[in-house]
Amino acid sequence: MSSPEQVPFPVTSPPGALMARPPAARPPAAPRPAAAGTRRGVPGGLTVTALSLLTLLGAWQLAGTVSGSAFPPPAATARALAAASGDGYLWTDLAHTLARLVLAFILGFAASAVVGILVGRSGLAYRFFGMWLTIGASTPALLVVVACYLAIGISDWAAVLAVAVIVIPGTAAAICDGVRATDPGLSEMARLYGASPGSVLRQVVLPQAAPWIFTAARSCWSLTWRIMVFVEVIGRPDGVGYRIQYWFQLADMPRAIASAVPLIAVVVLVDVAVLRTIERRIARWRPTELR
Amino acid sequence: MAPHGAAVMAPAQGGLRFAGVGRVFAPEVPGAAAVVALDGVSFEVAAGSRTAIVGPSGAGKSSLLHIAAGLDTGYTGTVVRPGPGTVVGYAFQDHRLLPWLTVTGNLTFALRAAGWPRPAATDRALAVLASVGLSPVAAAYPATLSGGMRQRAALARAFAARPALLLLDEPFAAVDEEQADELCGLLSTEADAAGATVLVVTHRIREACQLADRTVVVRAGRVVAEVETGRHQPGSAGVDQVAARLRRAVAAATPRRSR
Repeated sequence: MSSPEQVPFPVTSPPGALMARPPAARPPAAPRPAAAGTRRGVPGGLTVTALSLLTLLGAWQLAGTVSGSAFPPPAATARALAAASGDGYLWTDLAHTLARLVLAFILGFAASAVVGILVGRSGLAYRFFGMWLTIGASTPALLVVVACYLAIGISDWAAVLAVAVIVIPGTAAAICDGVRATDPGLSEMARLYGASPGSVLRQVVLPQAAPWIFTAARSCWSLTWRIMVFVEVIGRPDGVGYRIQYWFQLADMPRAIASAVPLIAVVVLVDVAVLRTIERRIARWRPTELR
Repeated sequence: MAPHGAAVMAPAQGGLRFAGVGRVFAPEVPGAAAVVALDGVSFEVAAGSRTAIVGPSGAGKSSLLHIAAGLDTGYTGTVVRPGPGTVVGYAFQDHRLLPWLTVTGNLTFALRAAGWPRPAATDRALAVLASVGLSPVAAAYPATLSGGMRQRAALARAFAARPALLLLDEPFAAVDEEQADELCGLLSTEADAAGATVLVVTHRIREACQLADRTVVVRAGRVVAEVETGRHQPGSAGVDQVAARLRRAVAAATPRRSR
């Protein structure tokens, strides 16, 4: 057989064959840009988001009015936020927490991806390690945090490692499920056409598992910050978690909530602006109603 | 009886040989009977020749194709097929296009997997898409195409890399008869250019007469007739004559129903 380089690529169709006939069915559809939350007959995404946030603020106001000082309403929180931004702690706490958060997410998600893909691709690994993931996901987070602080010492690295270890089982299990849900017929086709195992993984399995992987990433991101705040309460002298506990001990709930607001804003921004954008871009081949 | 999956790899001839091939599928429901898909099937496809397999649904045609491709190794008997490294093209009945790649991307994927360098693969993909009339949708995703267009894209992918072994499972099922005739002509030209050994499963006797040198009639997992069909130009008188002969062979092999 001739090597690919030697093939002259002739167009061998009979003259005037199928070229003369226009395609029979739907018009050619160039890839459409992902419509950000818009659907036919439904208000635009921005309007719905604005209404949603306003409703949330209203519910917060109502809860604050009913609960009294235990749960300050938005206006009181805003005043506390303005006061907190002046004393300097707010931004240094946010920086500390974000640094730990990003490290823990990268470490936890990378490890989850490796474990999830390996376990999802191999029936033997799935049978062997599947129970480990279940047990890991069922282990109390506090136990892991205490174990890490005792093993490594009370430090930033122990906090980062503890959070990463806590998020791995659930995230890996979600990625594993996505890999196992891929169509074996497509992998079979790729192998038949001569694709290498690495190529099958990269070009056939991972694109199919991408929606699961991104859902797992968003869930991992959300869980990472919740656990990180908790870990900071136990063993760090700074960070958002520490500061919430500090204001709680002084029974100053507006300042406690104000300490968390910037972190919540950053976390939501990363979820909406980064993770969902990447997810939409990767899923642009899917029919609009499935995105 | 030979052990499961006993296959002797042929050297470089590129032909296929089935000798006493059997395939039994375990029952999907506990307690149900096992399904005998193939029972002692023997025939040969010479290198560079074309053979069609015709027969009713459930006769074992697709099972033969899977075994020929090496996708199914749970058979008994002996199968001789081209060795590893042979470029294989397979048009699946369910097209199996990668939905996240454009039509061009799907062809390029197959070409790259067969070892074509990227620029050459892209050029070849575009040329093949033009030959099957899919240039206007070259940048579209499979989900936006009609069933017939998807099948044409899958067929184009099958022969794009000039395979030595071309396996086709009902390649024209989703296109009308006129398009099927045109695609038959195109497929013949491409298979000749590549010197490919072709094994095609079809329900349409006309397609068998246009595409194949020989047609094997399969019923209930057994070969019941083999007819030299020759290759006839679509629409020629030869097609009708051979089709009539093939229909008689099929009818003769079909058990009559008692009233």
